[in-house]
Amino acid sequence: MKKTLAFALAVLLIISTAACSSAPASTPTPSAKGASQKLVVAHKGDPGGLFAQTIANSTFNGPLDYLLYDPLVFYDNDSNSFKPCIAEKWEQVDSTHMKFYLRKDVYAHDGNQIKASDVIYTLKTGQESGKVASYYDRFDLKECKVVDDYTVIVATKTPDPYLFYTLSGNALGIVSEAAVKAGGGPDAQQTKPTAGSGAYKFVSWERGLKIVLARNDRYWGGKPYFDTIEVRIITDISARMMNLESGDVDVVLDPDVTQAKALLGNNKFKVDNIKTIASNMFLMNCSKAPFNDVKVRQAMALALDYKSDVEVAMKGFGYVTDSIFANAHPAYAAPDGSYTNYYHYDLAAAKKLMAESKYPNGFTFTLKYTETAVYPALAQLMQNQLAQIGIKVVLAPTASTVFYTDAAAGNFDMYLAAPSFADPFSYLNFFDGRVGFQKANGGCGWQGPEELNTLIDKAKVNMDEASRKEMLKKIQAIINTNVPALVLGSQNRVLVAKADVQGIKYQVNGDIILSRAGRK
Amino acid sequence: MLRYIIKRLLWMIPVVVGVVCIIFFLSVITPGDPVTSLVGADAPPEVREAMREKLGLNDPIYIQFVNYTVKIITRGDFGNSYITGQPVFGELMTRFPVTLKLTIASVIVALILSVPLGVVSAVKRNSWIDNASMALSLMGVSIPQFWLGLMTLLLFAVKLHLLPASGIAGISGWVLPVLMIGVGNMGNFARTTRASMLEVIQQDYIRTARAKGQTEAAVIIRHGLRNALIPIVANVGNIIGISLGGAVIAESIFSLSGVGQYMLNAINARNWPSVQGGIIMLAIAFSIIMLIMDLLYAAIDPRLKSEFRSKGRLFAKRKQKVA
Repeated sequence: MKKTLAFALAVLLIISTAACSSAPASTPTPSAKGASQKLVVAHKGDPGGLFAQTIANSTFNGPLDYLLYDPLVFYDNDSNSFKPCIAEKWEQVDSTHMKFYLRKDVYAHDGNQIKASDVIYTLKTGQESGKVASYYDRFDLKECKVVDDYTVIVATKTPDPYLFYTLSGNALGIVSEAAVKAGGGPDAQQTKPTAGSGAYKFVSWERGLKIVLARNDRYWGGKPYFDTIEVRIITDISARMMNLESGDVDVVLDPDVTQAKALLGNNKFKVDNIKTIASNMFLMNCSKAPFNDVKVRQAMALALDYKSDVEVAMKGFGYVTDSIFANAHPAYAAPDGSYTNYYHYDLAAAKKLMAESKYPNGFTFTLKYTETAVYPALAQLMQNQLAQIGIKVVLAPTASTVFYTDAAAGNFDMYLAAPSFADPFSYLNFFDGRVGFQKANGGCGWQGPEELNTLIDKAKVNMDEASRKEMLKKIQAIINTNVPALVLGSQNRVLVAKADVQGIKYQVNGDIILSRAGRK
Repeated sequence: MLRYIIKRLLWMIPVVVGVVCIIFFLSVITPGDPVTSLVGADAPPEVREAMREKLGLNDPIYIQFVNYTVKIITRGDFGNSYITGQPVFGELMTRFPVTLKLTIASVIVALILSVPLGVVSAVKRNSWIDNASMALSLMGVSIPQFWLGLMTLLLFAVKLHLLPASGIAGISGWVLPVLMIGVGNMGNFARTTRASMLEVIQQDYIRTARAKGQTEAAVIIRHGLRNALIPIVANVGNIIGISLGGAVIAESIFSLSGVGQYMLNAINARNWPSVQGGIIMLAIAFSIIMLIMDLLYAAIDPRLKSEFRSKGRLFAKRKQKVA
């Protein structure tokens, strides 16, 4: 038996050593060498569908949407500004109406020209489906008008200072009405899209395996670099990285951060590390005990070691946040000392506040989260640190369908999410007691002071940037003082690619735009 | 024999009905709302309600069950996927061949590697060959499949560039996933073969065969191995059944579009028609495989063949008496 075990261990050791030896990957495989006009992208899962305007679960859609569809405007992360896309220029008509002048050389993949009526058709289709309400509900369709074939007025129900963030989003890709109808309607477009005008057009989709796109030769923005883009579905996070190292793929979306870190400094690969606007939020159910006690919430905020948690969970691919908006969010206002901010580590102060609260001996609660991204690591870190002030956290990893249903029903003690709305008022629904769990699809159930409600209402329709920012600063001060949610860092968008791949852009919310990518 | 096959096939009907009942009611009591997957978390209540109505989720449970069962029985219709809107049967049929090929290939590889290993181990009992082969089989059983998959991927695709890291475009694409599952099964089969052979080679008829002057190879293979095969065949049936539903790890690591991966995604999205359809299909496949295994017993073991025949005659006699 001893001999058997010794032999088994020796063989295991040899396999592990051979596989894990640290020599970097040598030459690319022959297939990679000969495929200079093909980009292979490793993606973690199939998209819910390929007609983003009417699809609810767009977790895996972003990169594909930006290849197939072009929105009216394009967010340029280099200059942090909006650039022309299908709309070549625009002008403000009044606080709720914006006039867009469209290019005359934009064609859908089936050959139909994109015109002003198609913009209204896109807004109407999206709004009627109700599946991307956070994007489409803001438009006042009765007021949207075609001026001529290439001029359209887009109207919103209320003044919308963040309209361009919405218009540049992946769900707002403009589609040709004629192409949608010729292609069998929105449902048929989910599997065989023909109505977009993006740089690449759809060729085939083998579910669970790959999606193949080909260059759109009539693209208004010039000839796209690659002949084909193959989005390969590789669900296993380690396997995605190994596919890159073996030369089988060129770009890995959502890599494992530990493995990505190991590639830093390797000249065969590049690691993009882009700040995003999404905060990791632990939303407390303030409508019930013990979270209806503000001292408990403040103590919890002080008990978290933000800096080390972000380092441990995100391995350097994230940053510490000190407000309900992440520091990279356009609405962020740095705490300036005019109010007490609890989003910093001070264990002694946390213990003191706990002792003064209604729960000096602590309590137990359940934390719900989905087992994606850094959530499990953050949940465990929080569990360890809250134990120091006598709070026991029961971790409850939850399937996403159950998770969102429970959040919308207020069926939770605390849940962890990282919403990435560029529009701050979508965030503020979580902290606005008048909105409620159902309408906000979660939130805190926290009833803030009347002053907060007034400020939110005024800021929402304030088109003057300076005074709006001042209001948002006051809003953050009120919320940060009352701590209805804990914020534990913002995870960066990480992407790993072969060193010769260039031109990858990022949306303001971190969505990846590959349509302008090429090779050195 | 034919009567036996028909009887076994007919027995599959209550099995499938039982599976349908269990799976349907389990999906009803499982928390989670498929409507959230379909219309999104931020859809207005009226959109959610319309979707519930469209899917028939507002009907009483017994109506939903009857509708579902009737559709399966009369039309072989498992319904449409909540996510893609496509018929589940079609989606499963595009994936099932991948899983079946992976399973069968891995079992064949495992048998090719393990049976000689088990036989040699038994014949050379307590020698270094026995120790080495049992160490290998112990490794096969105890190494976690995902670890082996990732290590072989790292070694053969990343370091040596001998095999592709994902996809099954050519035969080379099958090597690593088949090896990953096959090695685990190899350990299992080798240990079963050794145990079975050890029992058989101590039997009187083996001694008799040797006394008759037959060569050692003939004694071991013709008289020993053939009689030792029955527990191995039983094991093969079980392993194929388990692998059909359990190939999901290989499918995830090597990016194979199989039934396991499909069902895992469906479970996460509460896509009940796909989950139910997948399980029913696997139950039917498992029943058929077990039937084939039973028939193989008869082919291997003449005693079982005569038992089938005698049962058939007994059945015929009873019918005559009743008449």
